[in-house]
Amino acid sequence: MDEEIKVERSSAVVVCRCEHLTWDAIEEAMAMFQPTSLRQLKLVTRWGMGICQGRMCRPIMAAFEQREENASLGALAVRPPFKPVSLGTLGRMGEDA
Amino acid sequence: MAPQVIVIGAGVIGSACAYYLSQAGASVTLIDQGDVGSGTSSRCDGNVLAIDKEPGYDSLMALMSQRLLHELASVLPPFEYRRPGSYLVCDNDEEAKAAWDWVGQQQEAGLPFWYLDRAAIHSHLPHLASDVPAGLYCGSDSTLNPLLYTQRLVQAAKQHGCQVRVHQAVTEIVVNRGAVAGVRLADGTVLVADVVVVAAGVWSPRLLQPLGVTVPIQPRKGHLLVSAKGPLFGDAKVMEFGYLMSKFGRERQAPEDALRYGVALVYEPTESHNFLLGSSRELGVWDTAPKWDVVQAIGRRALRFYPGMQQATLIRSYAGLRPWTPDHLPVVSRVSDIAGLVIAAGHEGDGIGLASVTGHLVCDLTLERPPIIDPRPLRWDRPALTSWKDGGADG
Repeated sequence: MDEEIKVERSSAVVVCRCEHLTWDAIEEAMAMFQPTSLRQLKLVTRWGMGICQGRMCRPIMAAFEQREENASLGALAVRPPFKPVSLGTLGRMGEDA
Repeated sequence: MAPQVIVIGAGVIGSACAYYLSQAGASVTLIDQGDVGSGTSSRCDGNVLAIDKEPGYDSLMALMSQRLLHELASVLPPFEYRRPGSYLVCDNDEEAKAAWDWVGQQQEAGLPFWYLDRAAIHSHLPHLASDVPAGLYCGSDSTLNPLLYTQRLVQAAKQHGCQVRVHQAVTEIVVNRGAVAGVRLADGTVLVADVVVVAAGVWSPRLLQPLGVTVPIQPRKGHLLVSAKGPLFGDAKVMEFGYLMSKFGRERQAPEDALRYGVALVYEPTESHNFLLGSSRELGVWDTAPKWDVVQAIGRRALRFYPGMQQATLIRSYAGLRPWTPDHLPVVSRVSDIAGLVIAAGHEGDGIGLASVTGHLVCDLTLERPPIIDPRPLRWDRPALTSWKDGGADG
């Protein structure tokens, strides 16, 4: 992401499509829980926990993190699988190796 | 005057302790090396179970915790608490016989358990593989979102005046003339306290060892898989009976990869319409990175019971460190030689479910009130713990 993403405060912009989260919802959770990390914010809002696993929302949340008051929120770990996989495929993996 | 209490560990156990203590008027500081709920309590499922407890003290404690949780759910803001009950399903006829006996014991103890024969289990759980011979149901079991639950407890504790210090590691519990004096932080600061509650899960022994208090808590790594949002395979949680066989160290028939990693089916539908799949058990492992072999073994085990999950999509896996003890009971105890020292750790896979009774009991012990349950079986110096030798247990 080279281009800077600018997001207006208190907007109805959708941050996380998979979990149907707008900026308003993120701001509301920030005020209610005062999270000290992006991960903790994730735990209370579910941002980044949908099927895209943050592909859509991570760049937007990076912009959020770059705002001065959120600078200490840190980054988020990535967990396997790195793209969705069906359980059937998962079960068969390595069988013909 | 209200006692000054420091709770080390803002996982679900420490958070529940902080909640009950601050509500009772103690002056509480909750400290964690990371965030609130950033260790084991966010790498788990939301089970609140009596179904897997042996009749007697074990199950009494679980039922008391369920009762307290039910009260908390009406007091705290929502944390996706539901009471759908839970099922155990059998892999084979031998397990069906053991399940029959298990239900008999539980019913004798007056608990809401029902044995479900082949016809009954398939009518309750229509997605199950057709060769599952039997199962059982426990009506009291509930479920919640453990991430939210922990946050809600801390939020409520704060409203009662609890101070929360995150990203501050405690390096030492300071003891002076046989009594707790406070804790030392990584930057050298000493915080003064009358009572220190060690609720640091698998990290507790490190804090206690320098005081000469040896508690054989070990990490037992457990994996979970998360599905994409989609159709669920039933609204109640389902586990395989074989999990009990391995919990109590009985012979269990299962594929080699399942046995190697202690894999047993856990299916947990969540309010967000994802479902969780577990579970695995690896004793003495400190690394929380998910291991692909184990993820696969869990996936295969799920397919054995739910062939219809072939098309279900897995989006995430994670692993946490359950604080294991040799007798599968937690330590919730004062330490008689060190006034003001309280331990609340070692809940293995039951921390979410037992947090409420633990928090209440810690509050009782700290404020010297009549304990809500008999605290003696949870003492840190009980024979099952003091006689335990490393390497002597099979997990």
